[in-house]
Amino acid sequence: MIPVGAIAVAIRMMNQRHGGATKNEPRAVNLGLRLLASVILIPFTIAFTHAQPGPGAVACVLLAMALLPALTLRALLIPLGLPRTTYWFAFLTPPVAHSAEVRGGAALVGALALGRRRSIDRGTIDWLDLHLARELRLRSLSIAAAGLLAALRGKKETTRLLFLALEGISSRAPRIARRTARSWLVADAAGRGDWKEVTALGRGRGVRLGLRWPYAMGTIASRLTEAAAGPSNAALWFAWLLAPHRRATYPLLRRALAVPRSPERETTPAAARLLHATPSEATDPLDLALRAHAGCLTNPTAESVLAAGHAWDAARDSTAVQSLFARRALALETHTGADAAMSRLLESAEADLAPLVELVHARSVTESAMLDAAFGRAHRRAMEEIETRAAILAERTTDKRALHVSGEWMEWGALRRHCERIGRRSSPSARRATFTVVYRPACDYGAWLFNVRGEKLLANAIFRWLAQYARDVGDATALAVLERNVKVGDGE
Amino acid sequence: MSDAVILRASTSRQLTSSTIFAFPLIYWGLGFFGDPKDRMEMLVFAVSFTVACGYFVLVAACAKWRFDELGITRLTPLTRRAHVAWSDVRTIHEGSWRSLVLSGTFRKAVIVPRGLVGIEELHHFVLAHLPGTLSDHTRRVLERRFGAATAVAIPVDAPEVIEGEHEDATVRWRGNPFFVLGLSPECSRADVERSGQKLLALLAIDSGPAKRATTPFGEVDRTEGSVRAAMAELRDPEKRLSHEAWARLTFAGPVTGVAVPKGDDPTRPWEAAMIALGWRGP
Repeated sequence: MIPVGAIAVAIRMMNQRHGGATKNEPRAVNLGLRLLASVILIPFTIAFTHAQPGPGAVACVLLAMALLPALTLRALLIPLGLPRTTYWFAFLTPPVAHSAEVRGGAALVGALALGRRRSIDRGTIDWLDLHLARELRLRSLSIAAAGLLAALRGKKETTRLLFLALEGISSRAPRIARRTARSWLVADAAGRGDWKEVTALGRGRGVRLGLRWPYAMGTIASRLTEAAAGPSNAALWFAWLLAPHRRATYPLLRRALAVPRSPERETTPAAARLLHATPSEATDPLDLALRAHAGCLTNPTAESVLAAGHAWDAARDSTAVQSLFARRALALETHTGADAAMSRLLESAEADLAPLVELVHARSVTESAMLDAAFGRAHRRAMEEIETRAAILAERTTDKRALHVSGEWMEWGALRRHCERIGRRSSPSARRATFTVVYRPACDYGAWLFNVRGEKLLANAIFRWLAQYARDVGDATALAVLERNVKVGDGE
Repeated sequence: MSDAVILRASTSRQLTSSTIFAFPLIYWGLGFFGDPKDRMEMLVFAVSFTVACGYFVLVAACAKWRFDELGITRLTPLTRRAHVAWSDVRTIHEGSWRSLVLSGTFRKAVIVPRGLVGIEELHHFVLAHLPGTLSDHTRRVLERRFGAATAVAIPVDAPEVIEGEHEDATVRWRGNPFFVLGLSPECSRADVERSGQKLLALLAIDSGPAKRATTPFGEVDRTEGSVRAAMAELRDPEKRLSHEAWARLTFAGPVTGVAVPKGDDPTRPWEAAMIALGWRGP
């Protein structure tokens, strides 16, 4: 006898548990149908297998695939790199986590399968895009799929912004969306050599949330960038053993293990090493500064930027350089004098170093007047950018001007990235200033998204991020409002 | 909207509906393999099944609607319905299978199924001219599906400017007037004019070597425009002093970086990161 009644009651109870009094909760329905199919089909398949072992075995495999779609997708179809088959399989037998956005989930796994191929077929990307466009409500899975499809088209900036916005979504959202987003961001940052970003992305309870690879990468990056304060060898091995993709990540682990975990590396002034390594021109501070500057522009690393900063400091203080400028100003009969010319030169150098100063450790920045000034310039520029973006958000909210849903996610991703870049290096007062600039426009924007546009997941992600920021800067009033907003729900 | 719009069943819908005829035929055909006594019985069953289903098949396969700015009419054979004026429609909401259900002062609700060719035009019309009748959910669904009647923009991509990447600051050297003219920073004003005129003359006769200028960052193109611009820059003492400072970079070959061997730097980029993740795409 088939316990249809019991299954129906179970679905009903799950619906009520999810507050779905009037509308069926898609996950409950999916789970219920799967249970029903199991109860009906398993006995038949067993009987069939007894009667005809050959076809029966095939039927067993097919039934297992249909009843365990997530496993089939992850272990078989995605690694095989069959995007269209993967799409249709996920569309026809969606895993429970995909129930709320079946097309989006199918497009996501299709894009993951396509990404496994060596040659990317643009026709397949268009095909997946077309099917994704039929999803009425773009939520986490659809946004992740849109991000991956953009990456397949080579539009990495679009992918970064979409995935950054996905970073803050509720933990109730499908795990595959968050895992895909974070893993891609980590791999992208590692590919660019932005290990600080990798460290920041790898933080958190990665093991529990199934984000083991980002967690392991974060641990490795932490050792690479903060050798002395970084994790021990045992911690590195542990994180690596827990994570997937162990064989591919092993060379990076070896690289991290080769970095000595001793305070010498931090305290040795890299700049000094470089300065003395530079040949005979060391006698002319201006030439030395120009060489270090040119070198840091062609090969921007923490050490080269630090070397340039110290070289410019030496040039600024050098009497030989000052007298050279004075002599030349006299010879050329300039109106403004030598000091103004030298200031212009130093300002130009400062402007060049401003985008690169984030490569240098915060402690080392304060040791160089030039780098300190460059950092101040970069900070001012970032604050201006944040103010502009926040003002645009506020204006759009007031005018109720909507963007496409993916545009809204990207807008938020861009603002969040700027704020996090500032927050990672700035003083507490600067972080408080950033929060003051962002809080009201972002909160109003989130409320508009939630109440008017129905984009509850994105709105919830905004409130969560703001609440975290309010907690960091200690704004109790804002925190109370934001925690209430977070509790209102994420539309799941 | 000046003319009436006709909505018809799509070819795929017609084909899908028509397949229902195939079942009794197959069933009847199977009778030839069985007992001949049963053939008549099976024929009767097949015919009655076809007649019973025929109504629904015709309705689905021959669905035809006509609407204009005054109202909508169902022209489907067997289920023809009188003209319904838009002024009589009070609410429009989404029914099962994404159909549109129109209800109002008339007795029975009108159900416009989806899958008709041209149904988008009806949706656009309803969104644009009858927004007050739409339920919130239906309006949102239609807006999302067709992007009509609201200012929602199409999906856009972020400009591909890699964050953190600085502008090309090496232009200070590659465009430096001293390097463009091939002069040292200590040269006199007469040298500037002489060298400039000489280069202009060489460029005028299309001299090959004159077309390239050497800088610490490799060779760059030299044109008449760049030579004239360089001469103009160096005539201004203030600007010349600035350019002089940057041109003091001595070069014994192109600059390729400071003395940090890239292979030893533990923080060098890990190009294989995406491949490690199993991602072979761009």
